[in-house]
Amino acid sequence: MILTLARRGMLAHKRRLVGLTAAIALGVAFLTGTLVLGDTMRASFNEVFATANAGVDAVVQGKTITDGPRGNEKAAVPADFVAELADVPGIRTIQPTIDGLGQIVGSDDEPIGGNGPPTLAGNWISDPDLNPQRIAEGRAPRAKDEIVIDAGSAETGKISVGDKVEVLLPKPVKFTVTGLTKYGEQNSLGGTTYVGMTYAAAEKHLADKGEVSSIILQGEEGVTPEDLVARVDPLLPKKTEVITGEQLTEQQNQEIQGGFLNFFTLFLVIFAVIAVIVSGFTIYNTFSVITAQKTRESALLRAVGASRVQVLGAVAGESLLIGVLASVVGCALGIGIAAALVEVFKSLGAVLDSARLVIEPYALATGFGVGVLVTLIAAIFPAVRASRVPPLAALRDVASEGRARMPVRATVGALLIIAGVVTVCSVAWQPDNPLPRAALGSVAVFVGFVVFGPVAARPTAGVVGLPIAAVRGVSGRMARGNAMRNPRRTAATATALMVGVAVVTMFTIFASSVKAAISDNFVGELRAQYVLSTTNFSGAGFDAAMVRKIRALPPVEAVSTLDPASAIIDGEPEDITVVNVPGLGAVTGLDAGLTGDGIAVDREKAEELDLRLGERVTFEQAGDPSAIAKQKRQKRRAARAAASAPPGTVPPAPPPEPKPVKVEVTGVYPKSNLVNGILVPRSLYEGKLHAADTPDIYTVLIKGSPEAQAAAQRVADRYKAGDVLTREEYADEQAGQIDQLLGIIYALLVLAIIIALIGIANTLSLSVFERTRELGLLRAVGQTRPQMRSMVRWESVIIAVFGTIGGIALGVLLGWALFSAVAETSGLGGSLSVPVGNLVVIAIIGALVGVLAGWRPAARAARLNVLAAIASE
Amino acid sequence: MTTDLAPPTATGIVTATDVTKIYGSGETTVRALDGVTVSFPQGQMTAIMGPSGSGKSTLMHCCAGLDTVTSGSIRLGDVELNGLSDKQLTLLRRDRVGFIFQAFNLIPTLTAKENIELPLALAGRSPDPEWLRQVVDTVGLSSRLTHRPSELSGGQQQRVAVARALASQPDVIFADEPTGNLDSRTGAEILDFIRGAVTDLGQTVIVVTHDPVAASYADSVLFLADGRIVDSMADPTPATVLDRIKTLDA
Ligand SMILES: Nc1ncnc2c1ncn2[C@@H]1O[C@H](COP(=O)(O)OP(=O)(O)OP(=O)(O)O)[C@@H](O)[C@H]1O
Ligand SMILES: [Mg+2]
Repeated sequence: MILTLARRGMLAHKRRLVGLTAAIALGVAFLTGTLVLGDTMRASFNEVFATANAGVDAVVQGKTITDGPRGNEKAAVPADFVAELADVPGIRTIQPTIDGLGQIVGSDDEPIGGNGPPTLAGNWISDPDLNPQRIAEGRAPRAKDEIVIDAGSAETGKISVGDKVEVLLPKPVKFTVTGLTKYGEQNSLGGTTYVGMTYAAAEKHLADKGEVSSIILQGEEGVTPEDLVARVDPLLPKKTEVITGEQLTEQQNQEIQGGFLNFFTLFLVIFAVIAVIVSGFTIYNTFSVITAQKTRESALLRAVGASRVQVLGAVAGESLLIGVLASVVGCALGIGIAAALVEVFKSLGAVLDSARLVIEPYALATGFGVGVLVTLIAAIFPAVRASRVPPLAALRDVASEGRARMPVRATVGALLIIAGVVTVCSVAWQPDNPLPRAALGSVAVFVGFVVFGPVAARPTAGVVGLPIAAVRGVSGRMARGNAMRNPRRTAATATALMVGVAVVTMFTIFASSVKAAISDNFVGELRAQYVLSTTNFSGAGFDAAMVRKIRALPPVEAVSTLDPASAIIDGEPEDITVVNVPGLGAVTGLDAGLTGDGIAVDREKAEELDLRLGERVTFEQAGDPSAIAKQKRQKRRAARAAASAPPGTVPPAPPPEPKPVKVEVTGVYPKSNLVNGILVPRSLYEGKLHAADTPDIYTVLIKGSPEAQAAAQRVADRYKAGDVLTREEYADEQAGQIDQLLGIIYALLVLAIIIALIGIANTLSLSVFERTRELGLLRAVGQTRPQMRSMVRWESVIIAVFGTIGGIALGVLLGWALFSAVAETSGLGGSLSVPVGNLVVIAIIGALVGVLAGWRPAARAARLNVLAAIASE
Repeated sequence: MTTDLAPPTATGIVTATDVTKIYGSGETTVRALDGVTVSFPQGQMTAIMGPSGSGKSTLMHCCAGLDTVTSGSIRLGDVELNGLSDKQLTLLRRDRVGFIFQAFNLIPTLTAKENIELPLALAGRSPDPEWLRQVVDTVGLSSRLTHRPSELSGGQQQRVAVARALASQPDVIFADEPTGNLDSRTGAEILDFIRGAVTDLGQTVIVVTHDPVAASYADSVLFLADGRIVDSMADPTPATVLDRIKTLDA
């Protein structure tokens, strides 16, 4: 019986059903699609690694030293360990690998790739069991000046077999292309580029002397990977490890998931959650209006003997049906979206061509469950409220909208907002661990806004409506009145849009503040006028020789690199900046007191680490204490063996003990936003401290006249290093990158705005339906159709502008919270910058959303049959 | 059947000629009006009476430009309503017709004053303040002008409706059971105002009613049955009207 009521209720209003379903389904689709996409990409990567390691039984590789700014850095493996392994019984193949970065220069003289996926280079391994790539055309490199490149780069750079090409390693080196490689049928893997050379060439160009990146091992018949690991493990040089092929695959999976993939999915999930929240408000609102309209019907049901629970049951039943229907549609839509995106990613090479959509039950369950749950919750609240109305009261007065609790709302809302703001403010005077407080404060402010909304709705709509009433005459006046007549509904309708606008505003403010801070830091503090920086952050960086040549140019006054990196100081990982001692003072204005074999720390860092001038710190290359302990055990074992050895035999030499490098703090400098808290001279970094093999030069600062710029540009051109920019241009370029990210965020938020738009349209349609009699009267006494349309549309605009104003206010607060927390943790500095122009654009877009949302309800209102409307009750 | 209520010299401000209105099609057709010809004289109050379903409201809607006729012609002043577009009809109603309905006469978001001025405001005309004051005084609303409909009693709401109908000085006011929801005393007040508008201001009023007392305020009464005009009466009193209804029912 109750279910029959529920079903009838649902079918009676198909249009409303469509709107509701659309709002829920969009949110669910985004969520499900995101999860499916993530799983598919994960599976695709998994497959890549699994194939790549198919023939690998075990591998010897360096331990991870640090999570550097450019990803994991692994220690190298001593090359002479290869020879040692030859004595281990049971090993069939020993294949050393040397990996590095190398950027191919295309036939148009432009370096290929480097803006994201890595530009890999390594020694070509011809054993197909150990190499997922195959030579699709031509042959493997045989001489030192021969290479194979991936077919994707060949296509992009218009390079054919037999061509001579330049590869930036980062020093430009000429090679002859002897072959093109493919992964199965795929030209390249996720946009990575690849250069394969002979072992000798790789040794020369990619490795530090006497080091290899890893050693791949294959066991003889009957020797398991575990056996291999057990045999090799006791012999390992320091800072290296041996793992099975399966473990390697696992590790590679973890690395990509822990890094890019997880970030990517999390990023999308955050926006999916925003979309779900927005659709939650939309549904809540629609159900509120429906319930208000049905109060009389429910009261009648109760008067004839239905219990409160039965009445609630009917609502729950109806919402359950809608929720299930919409969530099923949403899941299907989500799979569709994921499938479409996977196709796009395939064409970009970010996903294997052979990848099939991975639809895990949990992804569907999550999307479905969230959809149904949100719908139920959103429906039950208004129903419970309605069921509290005593039956007789409801029968007497239909529109019994509670206004009595406005003072409570106002107080609770205001308190929440104030508490939230104070919590966020506390970041300023209590800078320790600001993120949780900023988040907590933001949530409080957000909830406060939602609670306070109905209180603010009437006055705000009144003020917003004033100019409209003044310009649009009586239609505008009535639009204003309509927007003000039911503040709770206006607020609820606007909330969905408010959330969307708030997030847009938050990111806009955050981005503009970050941009302003970057530009202040660079343009404001930098003494150098010119910057040469590789935008190819995944490329090979700059050749050290180029920096030397630029420094030697007569018009150039001073040069320093300024590269963030990480190192382990007194056992703790720290962010450092690698600089050139002679140029530093001139280009940054910092008087850091660096001598060349010491380091400098800023005052804040000095306090944090309790360091004074002249004291010494330890740089350890391996951060893993267990490795050190193991070395010590081995040393003891070797000593015992030597003691018990018969006289005359030469005891095996004990492995060398790790020697932590001690360096002196030669300078303390005031905190600067240009650099991290610890400055390390490049000579020290490359000479003693750095374990990886690339010099990692990405940013070069140049002080000098415009002639210096021109001269430096000529050098840079020879190294294909890009443009020497003025510091203003550089700051703009950085800002451009932030704008790009902002663009992606905007695109993701469009969905939330669309859902909010559907919500406003839905509520307005319901309001129009509710006011049929009134609209009929208006038409009878002479309101023309255009006037009617304009009235409904302006009401929509007022509601939307109300939501937009709330959203902008909320967004400014949230943006401020986010920025102060991030500025505090990252040491970015700077102050909040509110881009008024952008906010105006956001406000206009908000109003446009109102116009769009009001379109169909307005058209429907105008189409009303006057007589039927007057006759209806 | 033709009924000419007006003396030959008086001009009919609203004239219906052989009007037929058919609802639905096929088996469910209803002849709501069946060949009605009538002329409502200017400056007079005419009552339309008849049993429920006899077509009173339909006739009124057709004459007011709210509904279109199936055949025949309606003239309002010098305008033939047949063939006018929706827009033209709307403007005609706005500028030349006033309405008083039984209930839900007012826009809840507008104050009494704004409701009164609504048709003028929709036309973008500013009201003649002198006239407005006179109207408001006549219906006795001066102290209630800034109130919303929800703050007014049913009788006061109907008074606002009357004032609104008068405010734009329309050619004709149509009232469909304007006192149907009121007690007899309040109803009498409203009818007094309407009568006053006719006598003092020369307003033309056509009022649909079931109530012989209400009909007695009119200059003449028209009786409808089954979509046809079956009788008419000049200078009615409650008693004569009641009498006539009884004979018609019989
Ligand atoms: N929209 C419509 N569709 C079909 N039939 C209609 C419609 N409007 C009115 N009718 C029919 O036309 C006839 C006349 O209706 P009308 O409303 O004019 O009667 P009335 O005299 O005003 O009655 P009452 O005194 O009850 O208000 C009735 O039989 C009614 O059922
Ligand atoms: Mg009627």
